[in-house]
Amino acid sequence: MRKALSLALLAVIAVLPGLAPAGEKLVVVITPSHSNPFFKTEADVASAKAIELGYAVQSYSHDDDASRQSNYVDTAIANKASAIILDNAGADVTIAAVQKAKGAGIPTFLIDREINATGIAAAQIVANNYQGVQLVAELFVELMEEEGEYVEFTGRESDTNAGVRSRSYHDVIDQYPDLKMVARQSANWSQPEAFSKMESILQANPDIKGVICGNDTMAMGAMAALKAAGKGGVIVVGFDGSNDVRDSILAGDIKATGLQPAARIAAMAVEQADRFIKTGSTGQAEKQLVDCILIDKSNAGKLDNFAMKP
Amino acid sequence: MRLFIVVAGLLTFLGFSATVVKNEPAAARAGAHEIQVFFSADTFDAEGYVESIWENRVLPYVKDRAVGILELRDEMRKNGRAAGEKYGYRAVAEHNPYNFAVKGRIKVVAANVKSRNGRIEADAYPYDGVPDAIVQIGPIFKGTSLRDLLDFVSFDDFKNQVEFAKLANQLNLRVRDSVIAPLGLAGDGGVGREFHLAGAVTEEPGETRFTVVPVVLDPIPER
Repeated sequence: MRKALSLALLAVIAVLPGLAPAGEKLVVVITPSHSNPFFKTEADVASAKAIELGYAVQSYSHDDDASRQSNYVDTAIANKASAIILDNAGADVTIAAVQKAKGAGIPTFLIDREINATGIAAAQIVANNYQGVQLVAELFVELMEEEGEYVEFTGRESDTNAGVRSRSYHDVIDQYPDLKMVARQSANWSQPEAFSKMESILQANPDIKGVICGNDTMAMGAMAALKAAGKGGVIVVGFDGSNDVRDSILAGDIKATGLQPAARIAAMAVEQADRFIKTGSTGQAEKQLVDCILIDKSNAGKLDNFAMKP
Repeated sequence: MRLFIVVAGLLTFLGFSATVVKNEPAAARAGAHEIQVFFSADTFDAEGYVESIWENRVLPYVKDRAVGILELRDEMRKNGRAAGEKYGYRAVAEHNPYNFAVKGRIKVVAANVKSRNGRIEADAYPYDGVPDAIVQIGPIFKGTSLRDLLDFVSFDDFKNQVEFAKLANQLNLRVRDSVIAPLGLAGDGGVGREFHLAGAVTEEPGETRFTVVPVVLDPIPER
């Protein structure tokens, strides 16, 4: 009876509009919120690549919520997806979701962030956040001339990359004893939050010389607050490689960011999914660490939509 | 007290428990750099691992595959991609730069020992007084060239990128302690001295001089 019910349920799902037409294989793309251009680029590029390779596509956002992520994986299973492209909602909580898909015979291709397990996902194509931030931190140290007071804005605490980036900044900067951190706060990846927190930090610490940020939106917020306070000369650095920060760098405001090659990683994941679907193997190691690129005034002009123009 | 607990409980219930960090100058003093990493990497003994591979794997690997600095530079100028395929190594075939092992007899022509990321400018033999490479002498080393050059180290074997980064940092610390410390370069960076050099470099597009992380820096006695 239960089996009959679930079969009936599947039949209902299969005739819902917007699902894969018969004979066309389905790729499900799940990312964090598209309100951040980084994740939107990821989702757009993965979807476009999958369509180009002849797949039907469904694209969802889990908004960094593990239970929503789990629901969308269930949806992918119910819709008999051939592959899931996933920028995941947490290094530990995602393990079960990927395992569930694997149990249903659906390979998952992780992009951008990794999980704390191997042998479950078909591929983990990871932006080397640690390496990218290291490049930004090294330039920051140089611009600071190895001394002075600075502030750190970290990302949302539940996000793996918030931790990785903060760790990498400090692994570099803490080696310079004359660089002093006077405040460290989470601005939850948010531009308005970084703006208001920067304003209040400035009141207590008017002499800061630099600000390190876990992502570009927070760098934009911090920079705007500094400029509003007449402190546009403070050295602000970010991470992600957004077009907003590119323009700020070209205008001489923000000094540097690290480009995560989101577009390329998304396309690589779909190409490997296609190979996996056709041959049963990606032909690559599971965990692939893709380097980030330091962006400063010298090369910012080439940056567009999370990729470098030739 | 009771009221406090109730309020705290209410705040927690409302989701306020997640790090409401006030501007905390105290944190900037003791323990300021205690960073909570959500991806704890404490299980990996980087020091022990590097100790186990340094003498019998890292040193022979770099020495065996090292190409002359000038030779590699010339080949890269002719055709960077061909030189990369012939002499270089990179773990992910796409997008990432190549890493190379280089070697040469060098003379120090200039040094920056003021920066914590100390560097010497090295003229490769035959000497013409013009520096051909930068050699990092620490105590802080930038980058991950040495780790990324080792083909027997795979990211697949590490739990996550933080563990993998710990390996790179530990390799750089080993360079500081085993290669650089015995040389007494702190004063003047060894300007005028000659060395046999072998080390790791990472391809930098548009950069004409290599930046080397040395694994061998043997002084050549003055005649």
